[in-house]
Amino acid sequence: MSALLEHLRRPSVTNEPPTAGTIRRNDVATLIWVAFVLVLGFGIRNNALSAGKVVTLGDDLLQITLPAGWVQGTRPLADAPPAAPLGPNEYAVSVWNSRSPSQFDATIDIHARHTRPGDNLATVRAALGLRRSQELSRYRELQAEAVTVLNLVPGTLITYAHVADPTRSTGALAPPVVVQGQDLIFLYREHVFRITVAADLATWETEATGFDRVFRSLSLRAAAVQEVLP
Amino acid sequence: MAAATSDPQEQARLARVAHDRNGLWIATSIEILGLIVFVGLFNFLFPSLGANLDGAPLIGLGLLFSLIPAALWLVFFYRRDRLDAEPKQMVFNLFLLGALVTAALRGPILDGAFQIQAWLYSTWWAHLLGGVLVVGMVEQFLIFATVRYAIFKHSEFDERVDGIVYAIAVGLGMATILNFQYVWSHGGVDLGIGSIRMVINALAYASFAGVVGYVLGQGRFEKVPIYYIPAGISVAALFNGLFFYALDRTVAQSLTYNPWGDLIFAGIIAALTAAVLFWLIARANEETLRLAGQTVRDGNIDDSDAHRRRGLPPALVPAIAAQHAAESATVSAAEATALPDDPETDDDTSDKKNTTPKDQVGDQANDQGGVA
Repeated sequence: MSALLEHLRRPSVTNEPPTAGTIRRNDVATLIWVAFVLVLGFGIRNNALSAGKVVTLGDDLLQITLPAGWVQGTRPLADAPPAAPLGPNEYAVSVWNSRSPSQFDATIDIHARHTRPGDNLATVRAALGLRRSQELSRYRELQAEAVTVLNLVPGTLITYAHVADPTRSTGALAPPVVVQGQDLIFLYREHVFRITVAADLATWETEATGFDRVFRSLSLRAAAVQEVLP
Repeated sequence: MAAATSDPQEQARLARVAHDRNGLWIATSIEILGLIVFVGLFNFLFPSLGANLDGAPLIGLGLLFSLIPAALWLVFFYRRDRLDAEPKQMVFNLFLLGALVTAALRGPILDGAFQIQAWLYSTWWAHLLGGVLVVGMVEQFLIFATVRYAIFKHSEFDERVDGIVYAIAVGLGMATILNFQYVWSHGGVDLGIGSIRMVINALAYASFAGVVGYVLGQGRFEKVPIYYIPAGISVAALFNGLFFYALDRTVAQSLTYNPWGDLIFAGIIAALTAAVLFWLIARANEETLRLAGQTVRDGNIDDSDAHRRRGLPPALVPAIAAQHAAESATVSAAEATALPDDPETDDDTSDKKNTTPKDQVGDQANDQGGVA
């Protein structure tokens, strides 16, 4: 350390003045080094963006990777109605991004329950749409796609929007926000799974990396044949 | 900075800055007291001053908050350039330029190109490594580039320590913008801990920039190894990243989080870097005086172009030469009046005659080191 400090203090024994070429060489070396370090930094960025924590539902029922750094629990400013208590064979995980640039923190909700008689993708989707329209203000379904998850398990990805007022409960004067969400539903191992991602529409692109992390861990793909969904 | 070769005023000034430390210590004490008063005002007297402000009053408060610590630290460090003080206008211009460069480029690079908001705070290792490799390196490179392409070839950049002074001005310009953004983004609240944070922030950025300025000063006047400047920027980026990691945690946690631990840690990093910087400033002044003394001994007093290339201010070498001449004359007079058969007296004077020029330069150098 002392040798390093000594060298930092006095790099030249002869005190010879630099030539223009030496100064130019130093500039080039500095630029190359800074560029190299920033490339390393870009690698850290990519690693951090793809970093996740694995959550296991039930007794090894399903493993999902969630964005690292998101807070697990219930979003404190959520204006959605409180979730009903979990029944037997029912699982729920919720994470939210406390650093969302919007008042509406981006969230990922995972819910699984045992299948009931008559459950299939169409009935689950219809029930979910009905419930959403009752719970969420100005709910509007934008798109529904046939997808596959976990290597050819059929599912449906529903994109919707609604209006939320995340700061109302605190008495703040921030205006309501338009929220975009996606519900991924599928039936797997005798359970009905619903993965919901939601964020302020204005910050959707920023939050999309976290959502992609979840969907990638489920191997979400567009279905080869898109059936006509109502 | 040109001065007459044997200007008695310049000689007196050099003698004063080399030996009289009282004035500097008094001024330094006043500046430190000003910083303590600044922190005390907002911690004890007006802790919630900005809570109900918005618009122009909030901007005014933000400017007040960001400019006062920066100005006090700028004066504090400016006084360390004792041999040949830089023009105040030039230092102020660099301060403004640093603020403008930061406002114009830091955000687009960090938030735009690297999108740090999306990933930097996701894990502790991303925060730490990203703080060093991305935030620290980008900020220190901006400081390097501002000094390198704005002042490096200017005739006022005429000694090693000038690199430190100008880089500190740029670093404080950067700190001013960051502090203003802090007040603005917090809506004027949290001024108690915020005032401490700003004083530490300004000191830290000045110190990191000073390390970059030191290697730039060396690279300006000496043939340095190819890795020298990149290494200096990397050391500054490392300190900057550690500081960023600690300081950012003070606003990044939950409501129950106590920020004092991280704030103290950030303060320790800033203080350590500042200590290294003081040492570097002392060594830069010492090196300049050593080279000036060597030049006088070599008899190469009037070649001002050669002096400029070696980082010796134009007035310094002639002034030291005149000082040495005056001291030699005093020694000669003492020799002439000494009794020839007094061996003790002979020994004393011969020692002085043989060692006076070198020792005098050494004395000055040591005093410069002691001052800083």
